[in-house]
Amino acid sequence: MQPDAINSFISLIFVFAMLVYWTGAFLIFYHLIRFGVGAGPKKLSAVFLGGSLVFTLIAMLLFGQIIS
Amino acid sequence: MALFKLFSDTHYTFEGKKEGEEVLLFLRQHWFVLLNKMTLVLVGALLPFLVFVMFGEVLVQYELVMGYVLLWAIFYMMLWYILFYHLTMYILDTWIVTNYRIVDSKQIGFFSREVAELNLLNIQDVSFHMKGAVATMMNYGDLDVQSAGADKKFLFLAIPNPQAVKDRIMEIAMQAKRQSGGHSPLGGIQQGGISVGPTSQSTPPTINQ
Repeated sequence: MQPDAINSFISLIFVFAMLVYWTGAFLIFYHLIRFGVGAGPKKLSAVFLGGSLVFTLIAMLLFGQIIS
Repeated sequence: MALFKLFSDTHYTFEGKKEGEEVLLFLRQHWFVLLNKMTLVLVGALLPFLVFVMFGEVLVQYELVMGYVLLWAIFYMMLWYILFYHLTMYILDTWIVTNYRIVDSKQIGFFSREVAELNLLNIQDVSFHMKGAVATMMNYGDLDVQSAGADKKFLFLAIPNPQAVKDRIMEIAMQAKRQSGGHSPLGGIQQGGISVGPTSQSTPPTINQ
């Protein structure tokens, strides 16, 4: 298998994993906003979203460095 | 700016709240129940550190540090997700006592939600039980609300300070009965001098944990 093909394959897996994560993240965000009673769950959903964005950014930067 | 109103006080509105309905008690399970579920996540967060301490030299020797840090980040993403999944299920499992009814909402995974309600006038009997040393020390337990003419009991699971909640529900039910003008479904208990929760405050009274 060529190195480029391996890189593409690994990139594909990474993108797929991110898609799975963000689908799940959306479900948590949606449930907290829609069914949460009071302001607490909404604030919690904002914390979750912020943390998810930070972790995704870190993972993407590290992945970019490794793959390049 | 309208978006940020989401984060301001919503006066405990919930789906299906009726006009003139006020939330008198808002209950969730005791925080200790949540902590139990979180323990594994918190312990799991230490795992990458331990692995790095044990195999750090090997990782450096084979120039695998960057790959390891990437796996570390992905692992923390998973933990972050699991942490909030449990938090979401905990937060969406609520019991709301209003001046009309008791609403029991339970989220079972993402695609299953149960909501049941019981009219205050149908409350027949309220009892609680604490089971185990931890529950007794932490002061949490289960509360059963038996309704007239229904087989199914309303069960409040692992709520903080069940004794105070039981007394409060009895007060609220008696007040509701008194206002409706019928005979008491609570067995003719004297109702004089009982004050039922504030009606003007924005947050419902909390039961101390």
